[in-house]
Amino acid sequence: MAPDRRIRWLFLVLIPCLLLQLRLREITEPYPAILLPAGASLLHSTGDYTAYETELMAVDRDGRRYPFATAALLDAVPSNYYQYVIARGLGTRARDVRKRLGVQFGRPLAPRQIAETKHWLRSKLRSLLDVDAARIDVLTFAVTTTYTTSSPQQRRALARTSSVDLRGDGQ
Amino acid sequence: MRPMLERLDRWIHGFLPVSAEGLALSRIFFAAYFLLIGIPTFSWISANPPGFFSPPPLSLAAAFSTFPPEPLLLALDLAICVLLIFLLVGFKTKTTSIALSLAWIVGNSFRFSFGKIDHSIMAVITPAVMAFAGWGARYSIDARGTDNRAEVKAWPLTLLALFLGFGFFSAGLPKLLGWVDFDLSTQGARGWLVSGWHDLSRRRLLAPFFMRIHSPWFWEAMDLSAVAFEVGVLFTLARRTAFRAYLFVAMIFHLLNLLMLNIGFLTLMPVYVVFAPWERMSANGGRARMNGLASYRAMTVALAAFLPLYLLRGRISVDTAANAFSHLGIAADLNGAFDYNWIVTLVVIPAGALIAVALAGSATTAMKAERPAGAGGKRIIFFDGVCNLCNGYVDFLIRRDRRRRLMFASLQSEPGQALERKRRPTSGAGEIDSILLMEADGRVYERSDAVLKVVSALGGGYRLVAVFWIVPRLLRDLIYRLVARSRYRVFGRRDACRLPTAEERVSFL
Repeated sequence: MAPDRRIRWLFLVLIPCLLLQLRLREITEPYPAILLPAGASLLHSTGDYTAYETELMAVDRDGRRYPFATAALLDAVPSNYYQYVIARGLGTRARDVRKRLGVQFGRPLAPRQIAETKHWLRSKLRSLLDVDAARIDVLTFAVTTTYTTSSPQQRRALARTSSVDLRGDGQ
Repeated sequence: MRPMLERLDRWIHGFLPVSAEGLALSRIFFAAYFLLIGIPTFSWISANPPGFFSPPPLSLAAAFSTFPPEPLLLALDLAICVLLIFLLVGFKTKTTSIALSLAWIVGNSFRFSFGKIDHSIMAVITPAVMAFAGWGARYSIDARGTDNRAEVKAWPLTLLALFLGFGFFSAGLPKLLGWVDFDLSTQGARGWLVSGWHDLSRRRLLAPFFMRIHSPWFWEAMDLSAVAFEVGVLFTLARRTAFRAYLFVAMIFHLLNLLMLNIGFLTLMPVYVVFAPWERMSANGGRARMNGLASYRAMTVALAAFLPLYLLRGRISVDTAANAFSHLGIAADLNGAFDYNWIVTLVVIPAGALIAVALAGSATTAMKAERPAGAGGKRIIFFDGVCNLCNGYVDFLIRRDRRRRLMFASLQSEPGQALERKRRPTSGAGEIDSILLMEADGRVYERSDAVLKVVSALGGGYRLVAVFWIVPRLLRDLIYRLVARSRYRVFGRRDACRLPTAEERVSFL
């Protein structure tokens, strides 16, 4: 029995599509796509490796700080996504919208959505800490490890502080 | 152009062998795996505020402005759960498989809307691809009441292999461009280890051991191996044996990743299992059937077994086990860092490795030969007529083959000699080195393949010998050869070739 030619064409069309995904990934990674994680960054063995740890603190109107665990605030988010949510100001900062070849990739976050997110964060902190928070301070610590010796040396230092303002409606 | 297209057709439709039973078993494994490891759920997503919503710009979720409401996601969870159960029992399998993949993709589009895409795509698309292979044609509700002759197709397996190969290639290409620099001061694999250690607290198993390795040569070798593994996969798609060997290497690679980087690749396991030589594990040369009642019984037992496991999921940990031991007065100092998923990982990965070993080692090389006259459609066993061990084995088979489905002939007989000349044209009439099994279609199996196929063909409890297919053929045949070489010395030999008794004559050529 002769093979079904439609299957041949399916393969002939799919193969260039698979290759196209690789090019597309350079602009923005699509989903779904037949792509597996690359992770091609390099460690320079003669230098240091710096990892970043974040600590969150609620700050009330009088400036008092209340530390809390990230997992307590983001309890409905898988832990491997924490850094991405925190990097976007816990959802209070505009989304990454890119324009390539005349096409806009991504939608901006509406002010109403920002206000809703701030309200959600305030409510969550109230139930967690019993605090009416005015902002959340995000303290980023750099943990630097030196691998030039056989027993790695480690040091931890505050690298930067940023704040997520919970007041206002985001307009 | 035409010969090239014909070659492409041959590859598409003949790259990997398929059997209805094999496909069905991989379907059952796939569904059972996710029912056991964890059904994908998405309703938790709706508990997050709209500001957390940052979908991949090129995805279904990008058409939305925020996370969907809870009832919608709850319905999706329920649908996936029901579809997995339908897939397990093979109910409307083709539609179920496609619907499962679609539902999973929709759910993942929202799951990956926190700013990161996880790469579990191979498991997600497997049901949709395999739907076209006919993996519901056996051991299923669909197969009940039919003549069990539903058509199975090989091209979806080729397509899945292509997807898997391309997936690895997509992971390897950036590494090829970045890691292969022959600069001992830059290390990619070590970068994974160190970043995982610090950023994600991946410090279990052998991670501490590898953290102490500072040799740049070691890490450069690791980098080159990883690149060769991930990029080299495309070349293995040219040959079935190379691809199966690749899957074996892949299991080693994943095992190493688990031990060193604490990355489990759990969702790839059921995908690899689709490529396992399942057909060898079914009795009667892959023509086994599970009739209606038996299949329902098996499915009921499977579902009943899954229920408590699912309920216990997430509640079992090594700590729980340690507590249980302490109640019994047994001190157990177990590392509480391991949870249920880790235990499963430690079981699943070695089990997967075993299957992979079987993949690489069990490829049979059955030759085809002309069947001698007078055997009808029966299997013929050619044995060494002067060997006491072989004659004992033949006696064993004759006693149990009540339906007379087997025929026997000594390798010293005329048909036996003709077959030996075809099998070993250059070695002449040397010492007999193997029992042979000739199937109804003329395929001839030798050594341990022949032994296992014949014993499992007896049916009943003898089918349990099928578990030995998991042992690589290289190892099985090594044991076979050791026994075969010493068979005369240990078990003795006859002076003359065996002659069948009057009662046995119907079973002999």
